Amino acid sequence: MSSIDDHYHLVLYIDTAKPRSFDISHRLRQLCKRHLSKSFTLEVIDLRKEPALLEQRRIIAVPTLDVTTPQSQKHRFVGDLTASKSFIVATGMFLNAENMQQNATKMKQNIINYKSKFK
Amino acid sequence: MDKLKITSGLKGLDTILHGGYPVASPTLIKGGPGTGKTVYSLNFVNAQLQQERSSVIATCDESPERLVRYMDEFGMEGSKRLASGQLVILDFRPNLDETVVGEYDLSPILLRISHAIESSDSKVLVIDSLQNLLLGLGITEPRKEILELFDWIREKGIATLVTMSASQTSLQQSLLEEYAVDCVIHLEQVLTNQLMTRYLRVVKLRGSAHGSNSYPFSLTQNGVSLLPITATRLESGERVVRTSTGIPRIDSMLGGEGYYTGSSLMISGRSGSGKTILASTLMNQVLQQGQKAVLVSFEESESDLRRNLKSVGLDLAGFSSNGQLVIHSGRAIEMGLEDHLINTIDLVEQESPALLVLDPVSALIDMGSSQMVKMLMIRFISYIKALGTTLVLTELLPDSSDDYSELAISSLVDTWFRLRQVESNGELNRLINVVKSRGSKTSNQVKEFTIGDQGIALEDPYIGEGELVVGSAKISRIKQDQENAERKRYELEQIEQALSTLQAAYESRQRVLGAEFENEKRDLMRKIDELKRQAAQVVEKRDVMQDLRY
Repeated sequence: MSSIDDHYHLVLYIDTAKPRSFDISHRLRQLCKRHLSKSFTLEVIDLRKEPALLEQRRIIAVPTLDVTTPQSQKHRFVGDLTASKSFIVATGMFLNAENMQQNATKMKQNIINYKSKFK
Repeated sequence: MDKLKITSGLKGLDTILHGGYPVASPTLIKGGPGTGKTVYSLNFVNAQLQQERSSVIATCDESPERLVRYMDEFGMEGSKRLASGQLVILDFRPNLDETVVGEYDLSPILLRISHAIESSDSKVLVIDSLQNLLLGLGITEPRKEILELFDWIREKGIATLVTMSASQTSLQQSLLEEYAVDCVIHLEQVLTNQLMTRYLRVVKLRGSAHGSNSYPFSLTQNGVSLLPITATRLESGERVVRTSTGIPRIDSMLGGEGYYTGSSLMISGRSGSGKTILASTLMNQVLQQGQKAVLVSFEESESDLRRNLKSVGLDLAGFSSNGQLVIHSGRAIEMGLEDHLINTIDLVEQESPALLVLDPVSALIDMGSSQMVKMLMIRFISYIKALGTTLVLTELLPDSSDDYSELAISSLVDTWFRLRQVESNGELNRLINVVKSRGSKTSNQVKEFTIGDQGIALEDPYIGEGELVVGSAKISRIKQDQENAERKRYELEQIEQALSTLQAAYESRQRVLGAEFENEKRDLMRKIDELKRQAAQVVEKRDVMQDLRY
């Protein structure tokens, strides 16, 4: 694992017995690439293979995403983040002010894009 | 035990549930905050650990460390079992930092529980408490996944106890009760007269008989104590052995050899009538025979009681130090009636004494409605009886009473003594009588007794004529009787003398009369003879004349 000082560290817990789980990890990676200003690592953990981690990290639902920001803030999100809207809401919670400003325009664009998709 | 049931770890509850919690399906314990749900869970787990069955606790309220500490405090060796791997605690406390952003699936809950159960080879699971399991996700009601979990539990045949707060009842919750569990137990707290009592009620137990009442219980230092109702079946065995009261004359009032061992005795009397001393005398006798006794005092502290009894010749220090005697004293108002009885039962179960004294039981009576008190006392007395312990109750009668029992429980006891103080001639005299004693030839006599530095002593009864007299009246009456007797003896002597004088007079007169009679008789006989001779002479003369004249 590289230093977390300069990038987001994401851990996604999925249950591979659930049909949508691979889809979720794939789409999350795409979303991160598009929206996160700094580099990131995404670790995907299959709970079926590592049940001990469930206990250690006290996971009660899938998918769960643990995010460690470059400022070492920790966030946990439960539920499917891959709907663009929920990802934006979620990332808004852990992006710091500097990033926020940087991303504001990006996000605005995203929302416009998102909206235009359904028009 | 029933194969389909698993012990709850509580004797009383096992009785109510006719064996314990069902194995085939989860048991739900519902109750408000502070009703002891967690303590019930820990008792259950502990009972299983004692039988070397591994157990899994999924805790959603308390931290695992605190649960283990509670167990240690209750004497359940929580940390030891945790270290040996027999006890697994899953931390399901809600993580309030979580943000729910989309759809999710609860499969990790089942995954974690099943992993823990399989890896520790457990057959026992506790979830404490269910409504907090999903609190971190903003959900307070059980979801479909919970039902899946229950299905899995049932399939695997894992004995499961689930606790749940009873604060709200929603459709979802009642669905859970209807569908997923076979046994529902309600716990509640009721405040009466500023004293709190906890009650347990079995709402549902599928496919099995169960006790249906509200049963009081108490959270004690050993976990939970239920007031058991086993003995209300009146199955106590035949009692044929008698125990001496330690006072031969009271023994003889009860037919000669004392009371039946293991029966219940009540001593009623007003303040100062000697109830505690009589009860302690009975206790002392049992202790002298090398048996154990427990005294629960609601009025006197242990040291006061000891001192007071010592002054009447009952020195209990030796019995306390060798563990034969346990004195427990506490104010009646400290807790509710149920708690008192439960504590007493705990003490009795711990010590298994031959004799238990409650002094005075009337202190407990003001603590609830008379109907409730009677019900509890019936349970209590019959439970103590079933244990084979002799129960001695004292009843303090108010000074305004007519020396009649105010307790509705007198019909429950086997032997009932009544103590009185009667004022006459400016003094108070103590009286005792046996109101009833089942299965004994009871004396119908009221006896007088005194309390001296050698304890209780029954006075020689006044056996003269007329009514019973006691105290100095008895002494003066005895004296009077003696005088009366003396006088009568004198009178008798005089009459006897008169009689013999009369006899003598009669006899002498008879002799005189006899002599006179003899004299007269002799005279008359002589006269008769004379006349006869003269008559004969006349005939002779006629013959001579005939001869001459013819």
